Amino acid sequence: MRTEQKKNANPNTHFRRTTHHWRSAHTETQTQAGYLQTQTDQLDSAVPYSQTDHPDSAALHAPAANVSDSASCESVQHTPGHTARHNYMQRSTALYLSALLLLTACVISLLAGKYPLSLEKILAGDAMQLQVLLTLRIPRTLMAVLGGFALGAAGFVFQTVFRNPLAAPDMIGVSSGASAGAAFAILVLPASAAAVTLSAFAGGLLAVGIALGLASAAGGYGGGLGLYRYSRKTASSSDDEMHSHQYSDKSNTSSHRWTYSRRYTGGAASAGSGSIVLAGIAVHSLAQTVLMILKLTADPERQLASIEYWIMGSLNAITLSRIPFYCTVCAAGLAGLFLLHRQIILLSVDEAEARMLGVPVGRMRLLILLLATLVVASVISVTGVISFIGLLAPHIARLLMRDNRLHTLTLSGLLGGVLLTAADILTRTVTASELPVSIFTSLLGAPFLLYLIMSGNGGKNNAE
Amino acid sequence: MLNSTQRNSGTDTAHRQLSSSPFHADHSSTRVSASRYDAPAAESHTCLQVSSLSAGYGRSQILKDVSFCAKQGEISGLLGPNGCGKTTLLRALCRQLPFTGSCLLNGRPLEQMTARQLAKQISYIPQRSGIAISIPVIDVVLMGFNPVLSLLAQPSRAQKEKALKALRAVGLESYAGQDYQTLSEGQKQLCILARTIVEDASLLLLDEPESSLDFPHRHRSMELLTEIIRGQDSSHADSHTSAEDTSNERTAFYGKAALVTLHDPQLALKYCSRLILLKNGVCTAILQPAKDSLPDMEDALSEIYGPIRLRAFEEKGCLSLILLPRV
Repeated sequence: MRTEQKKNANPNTHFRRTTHHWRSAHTETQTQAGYLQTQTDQLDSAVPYSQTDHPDSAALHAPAANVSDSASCESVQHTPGHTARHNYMQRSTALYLSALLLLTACVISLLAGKYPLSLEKILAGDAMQLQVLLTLRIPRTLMAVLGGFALGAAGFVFQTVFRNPLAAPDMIGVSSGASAGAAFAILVLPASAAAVTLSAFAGGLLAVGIALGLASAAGGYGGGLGLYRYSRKTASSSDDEMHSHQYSDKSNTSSHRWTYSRRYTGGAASAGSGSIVLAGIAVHSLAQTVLMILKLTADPERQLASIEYWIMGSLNAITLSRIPFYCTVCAAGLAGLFLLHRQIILLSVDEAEARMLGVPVGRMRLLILLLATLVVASVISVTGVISFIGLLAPHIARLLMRDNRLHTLTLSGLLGGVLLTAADILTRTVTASELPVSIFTSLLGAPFLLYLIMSGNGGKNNAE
Repeated sequence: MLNSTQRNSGTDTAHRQLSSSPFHADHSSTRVSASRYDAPAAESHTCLQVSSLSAGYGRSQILKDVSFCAKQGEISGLLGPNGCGKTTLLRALCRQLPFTGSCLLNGRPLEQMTARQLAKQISYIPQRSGIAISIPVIDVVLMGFNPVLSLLAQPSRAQKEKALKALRAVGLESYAGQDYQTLSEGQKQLCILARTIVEDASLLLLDEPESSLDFPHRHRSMELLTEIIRGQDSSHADSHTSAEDTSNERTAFYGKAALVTLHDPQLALKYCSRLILLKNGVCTAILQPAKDSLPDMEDALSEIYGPIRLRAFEEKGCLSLILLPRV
């Protein structure tokens, strides 16, 4: 295996380097200098050294040219640089390929369906064809692409922030809240699609709001110690008040006592991921109970059927008038997540360490979870619950990329978009009647994930 | 007993005397120069002043009335048996644990700082870094720039080069693009050390940075640490002139100090200017290997480690200390 060879080949150079004074590292061997350049090229922006900024850049460039000349030299073939460049190629290929797939799926999605469209007729100006394209197919395709992208990206965010490969938006109650909200609208509100959507959106946000609120009230305890420390906190809550009192009294003296002050415990500022998960589970089961009660009271002929059908998820009923608000909310949330991607990765670091790296852990986690929830809620309130994309897409992306960076987040989104669009195409072409979209998202995604795991195409276990 | 070896005094006044006294006394023949790295200046400022600090988890108090100071340009070592409160002390200084007593960082009480100011001034390395996901080594190092970067900003090209330089310093530059999770534990520690280099904080809190390292890398990383806190690393020479991280709160005014917990007393005697000995949460002695006499240090170390012998060993005019179990 390539990685193994590299590890074996390295110790010599490694040890020699360590005997140098670390400032005198300009005396690069040719291969290492070449490697260094590969690395700098590989860094996200792929900016080459600028000659003016760095006096040693010339020295770095010159040997790099030699490396490519002497490619027959055996040592070059096993340098990490070679592997890194290979990986880099592989990664950008995955990114471009999935973007291309998404584009293809888009085109097919626009044309395929119960009323097939063809490019010639649309270009010829067939009024019926144009009508269908504009009012049905474009909104539906837009929702599939954006929705899939959003679910995939949000899944990546949830898994990273909770450091849990099984984490999904359902974990903090967004989908069960939305389901309960939709059921409520179907039963109580006047029958209209817009009301159901709005109620589902509100239900999803409400559930997550309650979960995060509960977690904040429980205090700032994170990680696996959530439960353990929680009991301690309640035991000493009387001390808490006393000490924070002392803190405010003596805050202008340098030797004051401060224990259990808000700076590192309670309040919304630092709800730990452990307590968020626990609160999420509680809210999730509460919402399921509400849903069950609503189902019990529903009229089995019409209402129960439409509740069940909503929960199964479909992009069937999407029209142009219904989606602009939800698409805007979703896009805004996604933009926020992409802007904050560096913080998302930092949140995956141990809480104490992240805090000392200057991350306001509690607040940042709340903000990112709220953004991700907003994104997910805006999608599933329109489409109904769509399972597996949020779980599958990030894992496929990680297996292909083998890391967690901005491009992994992007790939998660792209793959989510491909999955949902392709699944949606299948729902309206396989049989005469429309099928729930979740059937196909898992039918398409799960085998591919299994294939990636089996083939050893990715995963750090195989690289070692 | 020399006056610089304090026996559990814990009083403020004694420590003020300590901090105002010049660190380095003359080298008389009876004294052992344990450290190859003599202090750069006769006067070094106190970076961290801890007075009667007590801390613990919940109701159980681990640390009792600990007082010491850490000076800039020095490595202060925390020595003691397992469970004596070394890690608790570091975590309290990071404000991760409630504590009582006063801690002054560059003259300012720790508790008056905002979390971001604290992150800029203190660089903390836990025993095991909690990075659980696959990310490239270079990204781990770039995390060190987070305290100086604004929320949405990306590391600049200069910062990426600095990160590569830091990786080169620890001997990991050929791993820059590799997955952090595929590194060995020792390499992970070196990688986190590289992150500390780019963080450029004025107080370094390291929790057993040497625990997973082999013999040459132990010494190499301690030498590196010495270079970092002496400000000899060239990678920061340009950091104060570059536009993106001119921050007057940083080390422009203050030098750096390091507080390191170590399990290897030999390493501690060689590289640390000051040794804080802890036993059962109490500070039993503060040693200065360059000043204190051999028998005094032997007594103090015996108190925490059980019976030991301390011997001086000379080679090429350079004295080293050797710690052996008592026969």
